[in-house]
Amino acid sequence: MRASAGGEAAGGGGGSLISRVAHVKNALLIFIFKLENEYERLTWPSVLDNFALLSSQLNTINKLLKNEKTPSFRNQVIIPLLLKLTEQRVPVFSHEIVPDYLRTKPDPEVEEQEKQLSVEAARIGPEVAQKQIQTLNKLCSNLLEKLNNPRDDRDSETAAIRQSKPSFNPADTNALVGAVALWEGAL
Amino acid sequence: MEAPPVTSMPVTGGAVNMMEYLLQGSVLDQALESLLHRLRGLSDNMDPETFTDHELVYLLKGQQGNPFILRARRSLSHPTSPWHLRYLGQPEVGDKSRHALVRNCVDVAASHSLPEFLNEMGFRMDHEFTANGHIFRKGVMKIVVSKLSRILVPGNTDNTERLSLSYLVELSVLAPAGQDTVSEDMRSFAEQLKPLVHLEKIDPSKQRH
Repeated sequence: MRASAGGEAAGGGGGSLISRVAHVKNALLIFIFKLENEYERLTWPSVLDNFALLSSQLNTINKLLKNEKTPSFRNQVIIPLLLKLTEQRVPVFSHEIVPDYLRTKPDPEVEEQEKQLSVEAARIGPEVAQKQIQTLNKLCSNLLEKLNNPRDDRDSETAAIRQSKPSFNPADTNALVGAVALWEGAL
Repeated sequence: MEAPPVTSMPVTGGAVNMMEYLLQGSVLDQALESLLHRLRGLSDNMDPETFTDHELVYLLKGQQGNPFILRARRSLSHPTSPWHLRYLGQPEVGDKSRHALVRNCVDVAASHSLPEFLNEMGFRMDHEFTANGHIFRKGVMKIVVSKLSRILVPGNTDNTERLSLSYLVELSVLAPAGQDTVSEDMRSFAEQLKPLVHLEKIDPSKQRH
């Protein structure tokens, strides 16, 4: 959806808005292509990278819109005008697509869930919330540190644990293999 | 009627000679969960698959020494699936540096009249057992973690008794003869399962106590 109506009203500022939106569109195209065609090879970190890219682009658009020099677009409606502008993705501007494309608020169920979450957040109080955030941060940084720094003393302590709790019994191995191959020892 | 010569190789009718590369180990019951978690992470992304199989081992005693062994297997969790008949040859005595046990393997599917057919052919059932557990896949490698149970009353698969307090872990690949890179891949996969399980090539004929 090109913000062409807003672009004209804003004059020079609209040009960069158009280019930012074009970037988002390209990023989305690439991401969708990847999802549809290369999904077997796709790893979660690369999916997260794509999401991060999209979110940063949306952020810049937001900043641009919040800029004081940008005239307010609230009094203008963005209408995806048919084939030419939307590259054939919107064939007819009909009643089916209006709720999706001109949406300003989330679905009622989602709004309900968001309200519950904010009530929950208000209930536990800011100090408790702060403490929970700090504990989570500490846990994450501990885990990251353990994963990133292979320490030599860690190997020795795992060796000690291993000796006290063996996870397999070689005699059992031989017994089972013998049983499968020759049915000896199972009689 | 003369018994068929049991020392000759089975006729493969022009098909490719498939070899089974095998590494085996075991894991105690208490370590099973950690092993399953590790295997879930290491193997291909698929839903965890469990199986319950009933295997019958048939012997055909010839006049020469070693009897001819065929293994018939059916699934107890999918009773309508076809039976699976397998022949496993003697382990290949190759160079010691090969990391996995290699033996000739012929697999065929069979209908539900397989036991009667084998009996008519002259085979006699030597023993039967049930195996149930989990199966994982990574590329061509198949990892099976199974609990073996002996059948107490012949033909009754509900009345079973475990053979041991450990689960048998098998890493196997079915590949055409001559591909030695397979055992390298198997060995590096087995490395990743240490120290939970030690998968090694165990020659059953050397096990006789």
